[in-house]
Amino acid sequence: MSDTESDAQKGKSLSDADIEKLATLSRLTLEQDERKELRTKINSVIKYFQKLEELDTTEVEPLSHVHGQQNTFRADTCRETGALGEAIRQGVPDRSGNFIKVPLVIDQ
Amino acid sequence: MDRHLPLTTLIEQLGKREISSVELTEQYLSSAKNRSELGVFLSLNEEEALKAARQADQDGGPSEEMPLRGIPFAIKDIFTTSSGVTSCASQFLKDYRSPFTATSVQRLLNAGAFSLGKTNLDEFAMGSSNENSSFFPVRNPWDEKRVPGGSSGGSGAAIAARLAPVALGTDTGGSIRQPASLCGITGLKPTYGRISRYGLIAFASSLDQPGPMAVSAKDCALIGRLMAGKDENDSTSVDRPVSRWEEPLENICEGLRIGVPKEYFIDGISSAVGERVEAGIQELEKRGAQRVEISLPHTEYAVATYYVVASAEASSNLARFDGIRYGTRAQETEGLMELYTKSRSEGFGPEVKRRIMMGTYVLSSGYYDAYYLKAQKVRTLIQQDFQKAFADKCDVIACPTTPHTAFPIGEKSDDPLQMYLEDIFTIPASLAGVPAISLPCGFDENHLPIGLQLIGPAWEEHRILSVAQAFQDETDWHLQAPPHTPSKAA
Repeated sequence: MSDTESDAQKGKSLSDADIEKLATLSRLTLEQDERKELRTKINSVIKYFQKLEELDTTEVEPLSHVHGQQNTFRADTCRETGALGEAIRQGVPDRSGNFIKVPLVIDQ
Repeated sequence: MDRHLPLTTLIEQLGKREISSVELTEQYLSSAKNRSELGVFLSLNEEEALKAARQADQDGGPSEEMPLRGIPFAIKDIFTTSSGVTSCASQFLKDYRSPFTATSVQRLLNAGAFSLGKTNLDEFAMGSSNENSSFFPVRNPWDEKRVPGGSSGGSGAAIAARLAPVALGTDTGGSIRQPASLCGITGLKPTYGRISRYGLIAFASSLDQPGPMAVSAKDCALIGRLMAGKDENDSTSVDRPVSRWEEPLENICEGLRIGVPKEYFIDGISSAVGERVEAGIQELEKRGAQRVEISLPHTEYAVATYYVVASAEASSNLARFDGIRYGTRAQETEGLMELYTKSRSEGFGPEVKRRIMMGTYVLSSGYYDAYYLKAQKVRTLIQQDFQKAFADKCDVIACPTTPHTAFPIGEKSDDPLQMYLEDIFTIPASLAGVPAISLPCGFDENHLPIGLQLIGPAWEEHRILSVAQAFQDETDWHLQAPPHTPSKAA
């Protein structure tokens, strides 16, 4: 995947290597046939995205919230969660007491 | 007793003790089991529902404080419930038990209703046909070889087959209105921010909005306003007064200016859809409404805009599914990275993977401005189309909900772009954040239902619901059930 905007504007289709890089960024691993199918289907949709280039949006503000809402703040106060803590821990796939078990993160 | 009646009629009958909640609940549960081939329910809440029904009968049925006491309802399995599994139709969450209940569901429980069960959907609400459920597809009760629409296809089919008096859905780009249209029922997508999203498994947070699906607009009005209102657990929910939507505004059609957007009556729509929607508009004109031709010039850019924005938000929202804290964790992995990638690759279906990767692409370095920022700018133009129309020309907009009626299962599943284009008439209102309702307005040559969509300005749910109720006062399309559904339950 090239890092220039002009490539995106030209609608360059994604190669197998691009798909592989996207999969890595998305934390996914793909089988060979899966990669091929994803490449075809993603390319057809991304090509369609080029339609947006027909519009001149130089003077247009981007919309991220339909009612223009800005940040919402609340006081940072402690609240009792009661049984919620244990209910959350019960959903953990692998735990030891109150701890979540994960693979070794730092090399010894 | 007839489980085919609208919810609000059932509430009246429960109030007068003409029927009991236990009878009603037993009837829905047995119908749900008899129609399991439709694939509507992912789980039934049989024991708890019957227990709640017995209690409701003892406590005396619906009241002003408990307007839904004794009413069972179905819940799209994207709303978390502290009872039972919340799967989102994904292998990733197939055994997931939520520690809490979604606010919108809780409000209905507080009003005395209880869950019949959780309905099927496209995995993580990503789809327009319900073929993307990772368990099994939903079949359209009007023709079981066809799709019910999506992503709230289980809820749509539940109402069409009268397996529940009301079902909850969520709408990101049409996921309530499109299945409502394809299943011949009524479905409301409220204004963005009207109903709390707390407890919805997030797909695209700037678009997601829960809403009711039912037989009539009056039913949707009652359920919608009971779900509505500020929730401190959702900072995007808005603190605005909610009126009694189920009591229609008087003489709503007199002098009402109905905007008919030319971009929604194009060559690509089926002729039956065009004709029936046109007849629906004429029905409102007979009641005193006035037709105004309008233009929403950026309509043709809505689908591309939506799939950039929604995929980007989905890729970010679904990053939380890593196999560490909840959901399914892959076995026999080496190291943290492999645990992440293997859990995600095994847990997500093809459409979900595709959207995550498309979202990752449009947000990636060098492409952000060209795609994501560009789409956000076009979103502004699409919202302005609606704002201008409502400021200068009309009070509501009337148009088709979908370009076609229900399509055969498998017909579009290999071509994502074709599938995405089915949402062309529902996506614009989602991008603009305005309320919209789909209601039945007739059938095509194959006796498949057609939906009329009414769109209003932000916060004007009461207006569009009143127009919809006026329409349903004069027509009986919404009361028609699929022919092979027995008209009287045993």
